[in-house]
Amino acid sequence: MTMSEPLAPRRALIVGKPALLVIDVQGNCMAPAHDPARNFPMPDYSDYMRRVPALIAAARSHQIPIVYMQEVHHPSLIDFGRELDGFENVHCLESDPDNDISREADRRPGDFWVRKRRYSSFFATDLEIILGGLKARTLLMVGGFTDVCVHYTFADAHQRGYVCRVVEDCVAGSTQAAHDAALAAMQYLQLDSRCVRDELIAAL
Amino acid sequence: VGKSARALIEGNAALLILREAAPASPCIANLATEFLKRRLPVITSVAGGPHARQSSGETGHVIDRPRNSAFYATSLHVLLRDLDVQTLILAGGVTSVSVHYTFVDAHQFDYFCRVVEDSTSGSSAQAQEAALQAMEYMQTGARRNLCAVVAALNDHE
Repeated sequence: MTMSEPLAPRRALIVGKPALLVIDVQGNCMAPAHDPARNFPMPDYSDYMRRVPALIAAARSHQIPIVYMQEVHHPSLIDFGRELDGFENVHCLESDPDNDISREADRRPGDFWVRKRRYSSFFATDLEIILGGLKARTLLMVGGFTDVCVHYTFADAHQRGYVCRVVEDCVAGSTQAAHDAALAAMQYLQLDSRCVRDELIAAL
Repeated sequence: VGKSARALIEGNAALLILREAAPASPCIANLATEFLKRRLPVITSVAGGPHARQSSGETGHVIDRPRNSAFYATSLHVLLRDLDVQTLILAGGVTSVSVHYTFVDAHQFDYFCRVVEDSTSGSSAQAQEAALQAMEYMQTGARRNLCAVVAALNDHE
């Protein structure tokens, strides 16, 4: 065995029943949004988001349940907790239709839709009840930011025993460096967790 | 564009030490002493089960940690509320896993979070720096060093 060989055989991309978790694909995220003054989010953010709808369509055609996560905050700002103590400014006000699930993400009646007021999709949300009901074992994650909501949803899913897959060409981060570091951190938790969209579509 | 940092200690502070089987380093033990002599809570979160917990001899609260985050499936949040803690100061390891994900949960539970960056270790240099940057992204001024923490304890008296 050489050092370049993996430590264990690669697990199947999908183990048991999958669910597609579409994390914070909201508003006009498919349009360029990079702010050079803040260098935020990563420059080609929208290019990554534009790859998401084809995966959603493929999941739908294979009857894979789709769970749309939406970050919301109350216009009074009382539910931000410590979120405004750091780099982020006021965001995702539920009073603003520009923060709805993106039209391109094609949320339909019968899909699952869970709102969250923190980064992790599991934190004080309905998600575990829905995933338990679906008997989902593998979570396929797309959306943003790679280094915040996706990473911390992944870490919580990992702690709960789910097989986690992050579709690395369908997630984008606050910066390129943070995106890369978060993908490496997720791979540290589950060695086989990184995949790309077309490989995943082929596996469905 | 950056925000100014809050005070290092907001409200009441506690020290949370994350460790696996090996005891905390002398440097972290000294920091714990600084908290204990001011009657401030010191909580050690131990991975590795009852054997790891018993092999130590630390003073203060000791809580088993079955997963990465010290909050996941533990009594930590209840304890911190009983102790009326608002600021959680993190030390130990490993930085990019247990410290990082414990920070995330504490942040989501609305605690003011600080990481003692010269008293947290165990990750590769690259993963360490990325995790520290992620913590600073969540709370400006999260990254503090040992001297600054001890100075803040003195100021807070």
